[in-house]
Amino acid sequence: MFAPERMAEVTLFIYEDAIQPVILELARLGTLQIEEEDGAQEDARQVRWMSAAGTYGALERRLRELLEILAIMPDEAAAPDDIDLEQDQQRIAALLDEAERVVIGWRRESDDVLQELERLHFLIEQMRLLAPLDAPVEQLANLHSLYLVVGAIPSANLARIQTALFRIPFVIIPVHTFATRTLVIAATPKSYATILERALHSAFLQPIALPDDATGRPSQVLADLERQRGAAQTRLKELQGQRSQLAGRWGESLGNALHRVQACRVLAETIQRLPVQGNIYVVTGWTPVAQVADTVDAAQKITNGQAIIEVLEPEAERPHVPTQLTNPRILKGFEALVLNFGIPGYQELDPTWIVALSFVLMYGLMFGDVAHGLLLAATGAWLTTRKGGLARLSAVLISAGLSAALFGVFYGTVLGMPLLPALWLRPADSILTVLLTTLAGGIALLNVGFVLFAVAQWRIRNWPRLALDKNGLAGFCLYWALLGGGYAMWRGMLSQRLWFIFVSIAAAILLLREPLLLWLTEGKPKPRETWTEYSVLAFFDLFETVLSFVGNSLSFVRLGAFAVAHEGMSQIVLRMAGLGGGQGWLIIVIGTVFVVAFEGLIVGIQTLRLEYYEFFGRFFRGDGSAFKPMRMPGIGRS
Amino acid sequence: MAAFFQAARYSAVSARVHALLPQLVQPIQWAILLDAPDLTSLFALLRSLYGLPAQILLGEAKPDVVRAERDLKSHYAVAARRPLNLLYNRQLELLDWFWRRFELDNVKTLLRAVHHGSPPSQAYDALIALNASPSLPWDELVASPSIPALIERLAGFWYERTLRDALPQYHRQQAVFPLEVALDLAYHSTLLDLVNQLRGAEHADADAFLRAWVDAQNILWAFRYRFYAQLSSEEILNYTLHHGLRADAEVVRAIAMGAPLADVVESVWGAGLAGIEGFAGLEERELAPRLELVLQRHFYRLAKRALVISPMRLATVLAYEFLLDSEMRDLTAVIEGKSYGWPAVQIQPYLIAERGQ
Repeated sequence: MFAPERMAEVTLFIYEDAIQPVILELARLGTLQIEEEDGAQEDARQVRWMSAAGTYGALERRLRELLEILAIMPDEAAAPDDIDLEQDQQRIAALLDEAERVVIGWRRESDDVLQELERLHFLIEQMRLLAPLDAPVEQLANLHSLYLVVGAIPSANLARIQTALFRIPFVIIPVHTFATRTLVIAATPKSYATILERALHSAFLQPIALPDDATGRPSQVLADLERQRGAAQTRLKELQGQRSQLAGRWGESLGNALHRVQACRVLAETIQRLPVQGNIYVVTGWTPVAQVADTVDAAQKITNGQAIIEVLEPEAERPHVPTQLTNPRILKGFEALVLNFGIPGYQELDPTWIVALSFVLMYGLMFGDVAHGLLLAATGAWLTTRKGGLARLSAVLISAGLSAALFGVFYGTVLGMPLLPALWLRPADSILTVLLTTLAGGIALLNVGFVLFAVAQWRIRNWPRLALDKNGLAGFCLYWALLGGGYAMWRGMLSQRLWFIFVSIAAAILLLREPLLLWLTEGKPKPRETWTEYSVLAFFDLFETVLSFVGNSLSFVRLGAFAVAHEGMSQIVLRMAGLGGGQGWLIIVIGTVFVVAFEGLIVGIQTLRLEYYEFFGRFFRGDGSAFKPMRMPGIGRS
Repeated sequence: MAAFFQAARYSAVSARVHALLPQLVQPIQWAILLDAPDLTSLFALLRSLYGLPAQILLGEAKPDVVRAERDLKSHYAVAARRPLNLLYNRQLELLDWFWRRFELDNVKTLLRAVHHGSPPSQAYDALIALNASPSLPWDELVASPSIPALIERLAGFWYERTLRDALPQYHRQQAVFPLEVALDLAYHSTLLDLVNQLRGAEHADADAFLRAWVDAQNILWAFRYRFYAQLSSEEILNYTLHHGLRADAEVVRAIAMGAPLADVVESVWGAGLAGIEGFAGLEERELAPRLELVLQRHFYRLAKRALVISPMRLATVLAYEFLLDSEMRDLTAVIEGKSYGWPAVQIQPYLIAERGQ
C-alpha cells in the first residue's frame, strides 16, 4: 500500500537463434524493462543488428516522409505477429522504391512549381514598381552611379538592416511581403556598394536576379510574367488533385508498412544493445515480482525450456531500480498529484494513500458547506464523462466535494446559511477552537512525516540517517522537546531547567550530526572543515531546522483561517443578495458559482502547497524513475 | 485584487519551487566539493552526495570531463523542467521556450558536427540528453550528411525556416557562424515576443529576468563580434537585437563604433553593477569573459533576492531557473578547475556565487 510494487531483476540467457522471438514475446507481454548495459562489447552480430536498426530507421524516415507528403495519418494498425527482419526489409524496401518513384516525383514537381510561383511573385511585384518607368529593364542592370540590389529578406530582419546602415546614404524600399520574407529594392551610391552588400548579406538577403530573357519595357515584362504565373497556378491545382489520387492508392499499404518497420526497428535496436557471450544473449531487466512467472514462462515456452533464467530481488542500496505504483484506480487522481511532485524512488514510500486522506480532510475542513461541497462533487461527477487530463481529477473533486459537504454538516452550513444544527461548531463563532484544531492536525501530519522518513530509512537500512537526520529521530526528539516540553512547562508539569536540558540534548545531537555520522561510518569524528567553520555552519543549520519546525507547524493554521474565510465569503454573497431586491436570487447563483469556482481553486492550491512543502519536505524526494516495460509500436498486449 | 489572483495562480508552482530548492547543492556541500583532492574524488562526491550524473561516473577508468559536463547539463535540463507542469498558458509557453535553450545548444552542436563531418555516433555523444515534447528526431539529425540535409530533416520545427534563410550565407562563408547567429536571433527574439505577451506583474518579472538576460546576451555578442570576429559595424548591428530592456539599437551601435566596455555597461546597468570596477587595465580579449561572469553574478543575486521579496509570482519560477543555471555553471567550473588540479582558492574566483566560503 505504501511501497511501490516489488521488482525483481531478471536475467535471461537466450541462445542466439531464439533471441528475436523471445524479445517479440516479451514486448507483447509488456512486463520487462530492459536495463541498459554500458560498455557491451561490439562483435559482428551487434554490428549486424545495428545495421538492421539503421536500415529500418532509414525506411521509417522514408515512409514518414511519404505519408506526410500525402497528408496521411496512419491508423492504429493490427499487431504484426509475423515479423521477419530480413524478408520484411526487402519487401518494404521494394514497396518504398515503387511508391517513391511516383510520390517523390510528384513532390519535386510541386516544390518546383511553388518555388517558381514565389520567384514569379517577387518578380511581378518588382516589375509593378518599375512599371511607370519608360525604359527597357536591361538598362537597369547598368546604372551609372547607383548600386542597386533586389532581393528577398526575412521580414524580421527588415527593421534591423535599416538600423544597421547608419554610416552610408541608402534607400531600402520594401515592395511586397510573401510568407515570412519581404521583397526589397536597396540602393546606394556605387562608392558604398561593398558596405551595402556586406550588410545585406548579414541580414540574410537572397538576391533575385531578373530573368536573362527579360527585355523591353517593364509593362511588357510584367504582362509576360503574369502569363507565366497563371500557367504555374494551373499546374499547381492539377498537382493538388493528383495528391488525393496518390493517397488513395498508397495510403493503406504505406501505413501498414510503417507499423511493421517501427516494430522491426525497435526489435533490432533492443537486441543490438544486449550483451553477447559466445552464442548466448544476456537480457537483463526489471519486472514486477508478480509478473516474474509470466515473464519466465514466456521465455521458456519460446525457447522450449532452453533459456537459463536468474531472478534476484534488488538489495536495499541498489540504485536506479524503476518504480511502479500500485494504487487502485480510484486513487489515480491523487497519485497524479504525487507524480506531479516527483516519482517515488524504489526504496521510498508512496505517499498516495496519505495524500488522498489528508488532501480530502484538509480540503473539506477549509471548504465546509453542504451545498458548495455537493456542487463541487457534482462537477467532479460530470468530469468523469469527459476525456483528457481533467477527467483524471474527477475522483479528487468528488471526494473533496463530499468531504466539504460532510464538514458542512459538522458546521451546520448550507450555502453559507446556518440552516442545520451544527454537529461540531460554526467556524466564525469558534475561531480560536478552529485554529487550534487545525494546528494540532498539522502537527499530527508533520509527525506522520517523521514516521514515514524513519520507515523509508529503515527500509534501506540507513541507520545513521534514521537516528541523526533532522527529519529522523534526532529531529523528532528536538521537535517534541520544543513542542511537548514547552507545553508541559507551560502547564506546570515540567520545570524550566528540565525543559532546557531536554532541548539542549536534542539540539546538541543535531549540532554534532556530521561528526557523529563520520564517527559511526568512518571511525573518525573529524569534520571535513575546521571545527570553527563546522560550528558556524552547524549552528545555522540547526537554526534553520528550528525555524522550519515552527514555520511548518504554524503553516497549518491557514486551514482554520480558510474555514472561517469561506463562511465569511458566503455571508457576503447572502448580504449582497439581500440588498439586491428582486434580483437577489441571481446574485446568489452568481455568488455561489464564484465562491465554489474561485475559492474552491484557492483552497485546492493551498492544500497542495501544504502537501508539497510542509509534508513532503519531511520525507519525500521524488527522484525515482518510472517503470517503462519494453513494448513495440504496433504490438499490443496478448 | 490582481496580486491576489497572481498569488493564487503561482501558489502551487511556488510551493513546488520551494520544495525543490533544498535539492540544490547546499553551502556545506560546496565546501566539500571544492576541497576534493582530485577529479576522481570530485566525481565520487558528486555521485554519493547528490546523485548527480551517476551514469557517467560508474565504471569510468579515467574521469571524462567533457562527458561529465555534458551530463551535468542533461541533469540540469531535466531539473529545469520540473516546475513547468504547474504553469499554464502564456507563462508555460514562455518558460517552455526559455527551457528550449538546451535544445538550441544541441542544434548548434549538431550544426558544428555535421559541418566538420563528425561521425554520427560522435555527434550523438556530444548532445545533451533531453526529455522534451515535441522532441527533435536526434537519431535522424546526427546522421545528416550535410548542412542542407540537416535543415531538410528539421522540417516542421522552427529551426528549419530560420536556417534556410541563413543557408546562402553559410554557403558563401563555408562556416556555421551565420547559421548560429540566425538561430540565436530567432530564439531570443521569440523570447522577447513571449515576454511582451504578458501583462502586469508577470510582465515586470519577465522583464527583470528574461529581457535583462537577453540584454546581457546581446551586449556580449556585440563585444565578441567586435573583439574576436572583427565584424563591420553593419554586421554587428545585423547580428544583434535592438529591442531589449535597456540595450537598444543605440547601445549596440555605440559598441559597434568602438565605445569602451565600461561606458556601455554603465549606460545599461548604471554604476551599481558589482565587479565591474576591476576591469580597468584589462586587454580587450579578457573583457568579454569577465563581463559575462559579472553579469551571471548579477542574475544570481537577482534570483536570490526574488525568492525572498517576490513570493508566489512568476519571479519565483524564473529565480529557480537562474539559480539552477548558476549552479550548473559553477559545478562545471569546479570540474574544470579540478581537472587542472587547482585548489579551492584558485577555482573560487571563477564561480558565480560565493561557494564554500
